Amino acid sequence: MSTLNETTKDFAHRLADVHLFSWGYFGYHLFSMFMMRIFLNSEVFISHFDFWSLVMLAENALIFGVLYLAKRFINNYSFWLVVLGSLALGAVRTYVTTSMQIIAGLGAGIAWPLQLLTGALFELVMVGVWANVNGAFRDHQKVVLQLSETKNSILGYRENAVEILAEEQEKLQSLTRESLLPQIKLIEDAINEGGLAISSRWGVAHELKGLIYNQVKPLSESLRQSAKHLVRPISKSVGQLSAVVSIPSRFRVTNSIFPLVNTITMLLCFLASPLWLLDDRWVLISGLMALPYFAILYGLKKLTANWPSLSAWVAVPLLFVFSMLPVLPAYTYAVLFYPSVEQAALYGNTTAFVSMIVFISLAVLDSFDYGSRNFRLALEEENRQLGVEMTLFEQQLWAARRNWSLVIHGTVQASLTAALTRLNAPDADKKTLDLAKKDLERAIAALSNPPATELNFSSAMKELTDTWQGVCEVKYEISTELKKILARDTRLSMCVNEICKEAISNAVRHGDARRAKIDMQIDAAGLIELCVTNDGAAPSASGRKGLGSALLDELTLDWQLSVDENRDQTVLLAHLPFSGSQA
Amino acid sequence: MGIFDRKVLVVEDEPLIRGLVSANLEADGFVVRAAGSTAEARKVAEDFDPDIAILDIELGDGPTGVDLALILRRKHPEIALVFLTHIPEPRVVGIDNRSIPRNAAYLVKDRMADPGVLRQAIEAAVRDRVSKDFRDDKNVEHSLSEVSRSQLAVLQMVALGMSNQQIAAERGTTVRAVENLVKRAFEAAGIDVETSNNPRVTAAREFIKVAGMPHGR
Repeated sequence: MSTLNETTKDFAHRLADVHLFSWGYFGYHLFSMFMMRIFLNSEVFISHFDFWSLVMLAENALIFGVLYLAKRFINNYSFWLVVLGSLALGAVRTYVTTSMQIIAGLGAGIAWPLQLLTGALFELVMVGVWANVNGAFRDHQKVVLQLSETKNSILGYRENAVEILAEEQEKLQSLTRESLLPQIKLIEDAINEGGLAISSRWGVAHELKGLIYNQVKPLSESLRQSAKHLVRPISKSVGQLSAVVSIPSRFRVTNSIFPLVNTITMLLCFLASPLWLLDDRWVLISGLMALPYFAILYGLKKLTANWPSLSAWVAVPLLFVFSMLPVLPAYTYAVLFYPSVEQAALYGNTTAFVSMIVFISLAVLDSFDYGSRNFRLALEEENRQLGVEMTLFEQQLWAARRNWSLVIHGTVQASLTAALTRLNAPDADKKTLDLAKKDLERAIAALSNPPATELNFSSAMKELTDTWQGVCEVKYEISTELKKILARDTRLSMCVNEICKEAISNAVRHGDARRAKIDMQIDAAGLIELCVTNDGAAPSASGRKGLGSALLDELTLDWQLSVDENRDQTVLLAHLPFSGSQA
Repeated sequence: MGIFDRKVLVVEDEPLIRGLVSANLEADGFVVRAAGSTAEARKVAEDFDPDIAILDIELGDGPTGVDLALILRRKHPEIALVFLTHIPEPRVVGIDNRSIPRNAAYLVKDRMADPGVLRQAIEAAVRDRVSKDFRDDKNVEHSLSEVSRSQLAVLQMVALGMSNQQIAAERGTTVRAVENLVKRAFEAAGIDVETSNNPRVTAAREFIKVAGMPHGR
């Protein structure tokens, strides 16, 4: 029921937002009117083609003149304005064209009320179909544009991966120099102040400086390989046109049958065709033929509801047959009871032909819609896969940066500070100097080896809960499957740990949370789902800004901070990919 | 109680530094207890009820020293805080600079070479009078220091008024790659794309301020 309501809302919205004063609508309108006249009275249409050309010129000048004025002077459109406007325009158009027919001697026996009603309805149907098809196309283009922008942005990042790595390397080297060289200078000064004998004894500080200038390589070879992999061109995606326009190789017939829309559209044909082909008394009878038409289509839809998807080679001809079946009652009745069998057959053929066009057009439009949806899904999936690759690379980069930062700000600087403090001690003796030398050697060793940090995830989480105890009671739950994955992937466990730390810290700092729960598991898409709920205050509107959000942007595929009003909880939900994740 | 009778909690994950700092403070007459992690610091703080905490920022796998400072202030509102770290400013390790509590001192460890500085910083923190001399995090210069060479080259082209298409042609790459490069260069230069009316103009201005007028190519 809700889907039906949404569809109705969508349709009403599209009708209110319909773009009629356009070349597209002009072409569509001209084509529809041309086809309608060919179907209804091809003989007269062809024999008086000059006249009908003039009629079509006049009616389009009228319609597009009115549409131009509407565009110029009406700023806000509503559903009812478009509906009533279309009906009025249709009636006026019919009045003008029918009057022209009468003047030309081609309109004998015209029933004005019926003529005006069918003309008004025909115009409304044309506007309705255009609003829906063109609206769907514009909605589709909007989504595709957004997805393409996302894709371009990801591809732009990928193409720069090697450059990003080089920039990162440069930054880390500069960080290393800026952090360490002043300390080494102080150490050298201290050694020099200690006398020539000491400085000649060890050139370790000098060696350390050389190492920092020439050999420091904070980023690993595996990261370089990842960057190279990202830069490789990706396989070309399917073009939008071929994805949308091509008929699916297999489809379910039932999805291409639309009893109600078909019947409403055919009702016009049932009402209008007797005016030209039979006589006025048959308008009502022909109109009632819409009922068996609907019943047969409805029956066909029900009959095929459980059919499996069929090859297009079988399903398409079947659709053609199905388009003819519902016209049989009208055809048979006319042939049996109308005085002229020839005219009755003409009426029957016209309705059958129009039914086929309407039925197949709706099926094709649905196929476009199906193709568009599939194209959007494929684009979304492609973006998702590219996003996973990019996030994995960013995780790797973040871990490398953090590891190096830990080495520099941890082991290396601690060793240098220790050496400096020892050298500055007033009672420094030979033993103290030897210890200072060892400190420097420790720094050299830390800088010479690729940084590697081990992390025991369980201990880290225990540390988190113990630390916050008394201020914020933190509980956590982690699935067995994820535990195993984290145990074998240090980089991933570093990322998850960092997000948990950040989430709790922010919940207390900004929301004054007293209780928090962390849930971690592998979700259906094969990603790590990290959910942190807390009883703190709701995030502010600008909650996405700041370094915490930058960290989440970097390490996760997507994340959102929301408020669960039912439970009065603030919820952070993030998804992280990992090497070997399905997504 | 004189300032040197006060109880100091030293939280530092590097045993070497922890030992050195503790020894120095003890030599200065402080009563010192040390912890190597945040969880351990919490336990020690409960029994010890410190007047002053000397905190490193990076404390291994658990919460940071900045988080610990928040907890200690909640549990011991009068506690004086001194951050003693190798990190020039918290932002470097992804912590918002504004997270440093009010009236906390922030010293980089290089300054430990001067033994008097830590003592003076403690005194300033205890008296709630932490001057800029003891907030090393506020003495960090910014502008384009975070910008890499290639980003600087892109900013130069932006300052020359080149479009992304022209930059892409110049660098022999795609427009989308340049879009990404420009975006990252703006981020590194601290230019907020969302709030700045015209980020390219802001970028050009920043570039000219630092590197002077760009020369045509």
